[in-house]
Amino acid sequence: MKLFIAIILGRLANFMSKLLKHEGSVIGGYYALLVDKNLLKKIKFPKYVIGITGSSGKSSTTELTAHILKKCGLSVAYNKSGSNTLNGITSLIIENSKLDGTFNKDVLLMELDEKHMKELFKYFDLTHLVITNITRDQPPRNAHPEFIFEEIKKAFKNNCTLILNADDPFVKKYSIDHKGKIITYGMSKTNYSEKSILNNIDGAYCPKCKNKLNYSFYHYGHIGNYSCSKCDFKRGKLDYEAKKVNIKDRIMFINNDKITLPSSFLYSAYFTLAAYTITSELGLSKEKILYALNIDTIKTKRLNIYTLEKRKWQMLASKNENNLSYKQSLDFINKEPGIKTVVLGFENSSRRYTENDISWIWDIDFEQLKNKNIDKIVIIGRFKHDLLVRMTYAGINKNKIILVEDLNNIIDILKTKTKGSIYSMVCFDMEIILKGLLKDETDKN
Amino acid sequence: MKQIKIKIAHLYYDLMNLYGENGNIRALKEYFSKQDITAEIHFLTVNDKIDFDEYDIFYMGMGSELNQLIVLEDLISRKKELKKAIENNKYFFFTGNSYELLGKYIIDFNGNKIKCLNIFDFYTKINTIKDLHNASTFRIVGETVAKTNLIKEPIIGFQNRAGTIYDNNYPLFEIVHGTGDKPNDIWEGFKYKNFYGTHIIGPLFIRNPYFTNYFITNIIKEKNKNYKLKLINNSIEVKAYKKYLENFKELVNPK
Repeated sequence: MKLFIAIILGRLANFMSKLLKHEGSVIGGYYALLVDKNLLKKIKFPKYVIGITGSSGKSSTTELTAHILKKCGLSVAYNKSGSNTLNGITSLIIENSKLDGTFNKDVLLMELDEKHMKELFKYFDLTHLVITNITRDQPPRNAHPEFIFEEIKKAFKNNCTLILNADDPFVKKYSIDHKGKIITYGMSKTNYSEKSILNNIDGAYCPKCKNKLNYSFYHYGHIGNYSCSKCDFKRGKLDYEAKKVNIKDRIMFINNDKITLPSSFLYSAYFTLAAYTITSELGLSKEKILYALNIDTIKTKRLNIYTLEKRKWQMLASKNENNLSYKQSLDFINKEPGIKTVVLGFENSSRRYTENDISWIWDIDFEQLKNKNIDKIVIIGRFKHDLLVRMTYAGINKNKIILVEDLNNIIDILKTKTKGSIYSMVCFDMEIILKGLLKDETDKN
Repeated sequence: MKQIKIKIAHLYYDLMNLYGENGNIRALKEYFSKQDITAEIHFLTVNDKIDFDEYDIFYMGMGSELNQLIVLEDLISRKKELKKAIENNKYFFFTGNSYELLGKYIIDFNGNKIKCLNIFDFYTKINTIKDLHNASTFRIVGETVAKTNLIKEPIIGFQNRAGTIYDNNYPLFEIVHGTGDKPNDIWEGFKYKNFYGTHIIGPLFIRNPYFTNYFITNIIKEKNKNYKLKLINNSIEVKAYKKYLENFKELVNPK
């Protein structure tokens, strides 16, 4: 009876929230758990309860996995980005359960917050967990990668099949003492693998015997092909290997199947590989998976390409306090042809918390902007002087740098003082402001 | 005039490097270079040969709790030389949890006592309070402003640490905003002879141009007291420093 009331009340709260046009329904889960805190123990879960977590790539992996599952004829309940903690997931579960607590879809698929997911699995178990990567991300909240490793570890038991990105030694580390089934995926060497001064900073030592890892190549950061100099810990043989990854032509091969990539970013190869791996592992028809990836494809998110006076302006959302997110934007910009102007900067380090740590700008390879094709670097936001220091230490000529005192002038500055295609690499909240200013400009004309 | 050459040992660069700490080494190199002095940096780690007589400055940064222990294991065999170098007035700048290793012991999250180098009298206890009011809730995290009697300008930076420090008789900074060695403590960091230790990250030498200048000029004067120090141009760093104090004035003048 308690369960019944909890589900009804939770759904009602979700419904009201939707009426008020609130995005993501966390509130229903909150009320349902208030009525019955053991609600999740009483749900009759489906055969497949799949989690997807990691520092980055989890929402893209979840979206694409849901798409493939649906195209394979399964009914799927999954959370859209934003509602990935206890209340959000509870909300998702009650929305997809009958009033007696029987889950009414074939698959429960969850994007999970790496720090808080352990709260959920006090109540029920995962059948499969995909771990995409563990990298430096929001240190004031997440401390460092090894801490996140431990937090994720508390969330699954030996009855869970782990789907691991073996290119990341922090992820492969789970294989050391997991007694359940382990499936690995990874990417063979690409033309984009290059050494940078920042490769060495994380996961440089063997998690098993504490000796230094040897790398034969790096994809980016500490992600690559490694083996321990002393013991048997290594990336090893992969169950699913992406080969001949060509992001320009948006093609790769997984175990000899030709796959179309959803975008021209390297990370799209990773999330496609992860989605292919988990859906193949469920025993779904290969033809149907390939059909969903290559023919009846997922609607790709807009590429965020705009124009300003016939100049291309591409917005590359870059996560603050995440050096590898910025790194991937820098890599992208460097590969683009022609003269370029780069916009970067931030008003606050985080939109989740008030602490402003700015040390992470020293973990980003801004040296990559020291390039003759870069016409100007336009710096915005409250920490522009700190970024100017960073650019100076990166060896960038001060004549190439423009500090924007009043953000309202940025469009004029870009129009009159810069050349070439524009690439903004700022976090989501700053990107919204830039889009607004650009729209005002477009509306004017 | 006799040319000065400075040699810096960046210790355990591949283990103790969280939170942009590489910036500290970059700043040292830059400030020496502004004085027309070449600073040669050697990147050293576990099992490398380290001749403590060879270097003028030893730097080590912040690392994870696991990496800290890998370093400890390697450093134990070097304790005698390390202690001698400190007593002989070599310069040490250890940031984050790296300087915890020179204390008596670290009590880890599970209450285990890990014996450290026992060169200094303080000890470290990993915080076990899980509901701190900050972004982390379990680590000491937040903006930090501090005073020191070494220079008149305040120190700015950030802290993100698990360790709290007890029995520290030689503090380096007096906290104006943020947390000291432990919650409700106004003292932070450690200074003995030319050994400096602090949990303030930033990177500290990047964000505190006055302090960095103080630090390197001391070293230069010690190397050659007749060396003609230049008035350097570090206006970019100074502007960033001043802008921060302007934007966050509530931190400097707490109500």
